[in-house]
Amino acid sequence: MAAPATQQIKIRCNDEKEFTVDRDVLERSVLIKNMLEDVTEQQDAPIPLPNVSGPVMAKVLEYCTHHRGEPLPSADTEQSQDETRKRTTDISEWDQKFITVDQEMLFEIILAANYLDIKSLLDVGCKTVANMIKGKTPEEIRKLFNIVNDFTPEEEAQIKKENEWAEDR
Amino acid sequence: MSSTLPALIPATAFGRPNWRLPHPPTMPSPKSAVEEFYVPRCPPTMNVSIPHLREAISSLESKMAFLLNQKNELESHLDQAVRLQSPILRLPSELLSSIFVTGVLEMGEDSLMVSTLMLVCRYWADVALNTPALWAKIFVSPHHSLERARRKIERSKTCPIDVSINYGPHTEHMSNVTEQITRAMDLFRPALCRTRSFHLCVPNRPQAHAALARCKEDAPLLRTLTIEICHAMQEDYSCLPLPLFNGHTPALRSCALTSFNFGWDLTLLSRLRTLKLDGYFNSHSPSPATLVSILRQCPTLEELTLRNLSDSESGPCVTTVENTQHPPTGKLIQLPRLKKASFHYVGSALTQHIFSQVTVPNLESLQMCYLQNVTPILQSLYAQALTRLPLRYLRIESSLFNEMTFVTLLRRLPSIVRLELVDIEDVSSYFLKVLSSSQPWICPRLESLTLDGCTSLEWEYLRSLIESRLPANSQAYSRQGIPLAPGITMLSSASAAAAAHARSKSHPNIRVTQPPVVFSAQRLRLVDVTRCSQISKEMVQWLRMYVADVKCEVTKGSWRDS
Repeated sequence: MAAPATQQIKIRCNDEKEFTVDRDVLERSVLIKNMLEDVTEQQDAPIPLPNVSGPVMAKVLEYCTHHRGEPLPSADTEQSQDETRKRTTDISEWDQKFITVDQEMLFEIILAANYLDIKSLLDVGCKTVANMIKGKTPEEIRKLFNIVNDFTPEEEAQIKKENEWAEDR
Repeated sequence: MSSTLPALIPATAFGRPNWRLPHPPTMPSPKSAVEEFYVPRCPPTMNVSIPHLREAISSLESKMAFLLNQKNELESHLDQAVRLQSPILRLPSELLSSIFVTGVLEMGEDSLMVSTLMLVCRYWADVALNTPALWAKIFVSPHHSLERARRKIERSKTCPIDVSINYGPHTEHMSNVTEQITRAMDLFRPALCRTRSFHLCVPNRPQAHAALARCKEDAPLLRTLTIEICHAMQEDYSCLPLPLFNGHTPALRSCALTSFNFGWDLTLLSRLRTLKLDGYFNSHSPSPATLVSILRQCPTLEELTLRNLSDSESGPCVTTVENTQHPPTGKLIQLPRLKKASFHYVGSALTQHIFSQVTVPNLESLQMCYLQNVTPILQSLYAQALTRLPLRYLRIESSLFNEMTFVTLLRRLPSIVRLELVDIEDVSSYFLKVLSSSQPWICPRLESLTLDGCTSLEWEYLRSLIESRLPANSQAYSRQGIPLAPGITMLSSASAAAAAHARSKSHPNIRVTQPPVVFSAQRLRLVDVTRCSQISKEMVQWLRMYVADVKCEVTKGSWRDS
């Protein structure tokens, strides 16, 4: 007996780009999962995703396809929060390769993961940015992200003064 | 006067006005002396223009203010435009906040510093200030000021906090330290209700009590409590008024107490997952029944560490609790989650009583150091191992035991991976002989064997053990990359020849075309023969050919680098 065919779902991005994707892949997104659960009847109209562009969605779908079938992270219980604290910024090899993109795309992926509620992808994005910042001085961080230093000398001195004592770790 | 004027304005400007109208060409008439010298500074016709001039100036000023406003506005737009070019600044503050939390709290040793993040730009500083989790770890110590702690308490808002008051063992400026600790506790007291972990390390007991006497509020979120009193031996101090935290610590799961005398209040030590007790002697030491009562209250205990606990004498703080709340019963205490147990210098009455009262079916790691005679413990473990004991790590140090009992227990421990014997006089070559025997294998998964200071073991038996656990087609490890002193090459080749001979003896059919023998015992990957005076340097060289990691004493001279 043949396995039941996976349901295909259509989505439409903000640049009118459309994707037809297996339901289990799309359900990595809690937002879409909830939408699909709310809709009882089969719909042909694509799901509009006004906050995501086509190229970014393609990248997100690449991630969801690779991680399809993996258990979704559970709600933050007290214990899972503790475990979160303990975990390191390790990113799997595949995820690392996947997230090696230019800054523009990296932050678009983070925004999309946040909008679509894909926690694991959001984690990968946040860890990647945190790793980019690691070991850098404020000036190096500004240079890396093209940020303007808008402090007055007095404000900067005040922050430095606050941290004259040992950093709490 | 001219010297005080701005250099660019000539002094004459303040003298006679040089724009006087010329005198009309009339005939001169006789004048008084006053009239002769009086020259009006401003002609009457110009006086009427003052309001106009003022108005003109005012108009210019307002135009300038308008232009300045416009300039500021444009600058701000430019700023914004530049910012928007930076993709990271498109992130909403809550996402930037998540990145900060990841970087600061979840990167261990490489964690980012909040101060670095705050110095990047105003927006980042603002996001950091409004991320309470970044301010939740609060320290007070000689290197962490109270002012900073106060600031962090404020910024952490309602977030659960981790408090550490650490004045270490230093006893200088004692009165000042006591004052600092008291002030710190007064600072933390209103936040006890959201304290997640509390660590107090102070030089002496009065200071600990001064601090803890202020812990009277409920601590409903407290999960980890650590109290260390560095110098407790010299003092005698009365019990602390109880209970701590108003007896309300429903979330407490980990308790590590060093010399803190709290009358063995069982309300504090219940439902724990980790229990560590250190530094209790004589009258302050818990009785065996007290310890068992504590364990009875912690059925989900995962880790138990007892260090420096002498067998108790009856004392004022011990008697009150133990027999009133939980009288000992004959029923064994099940600790199905206990995976790690460690005993260092604990009175024999305590350890024996514990092992006679508890069952630990999932114990994976056990350390017994400086315990006098551990034979009764080994017997208890043997009795439990009849059903199941997945012990993977066993360390016995400076303790006495019956070798036969030990070997009998080992037969019941097939999961052992790491076995450490340190300064054990009772272990003989018989133990090594038993480990070498394949009928059946004892501890077949053993990978790491430490025999530090075990001088009764003979080399021949150790060599047999190594050989017996070599895979059938094993080769000696290559040592080509290691620089050797002159003379070592010869020794190595001699050792290799000896090894080949030994292997041919132990596996005579290996060259014959027979299928390789399947060994069920693991090859030893680490052997530690530190302070084993009977093991010569040549023997160590031989061991290094067949064991990946050999530890021995570093000796001076030409062997130093080998």
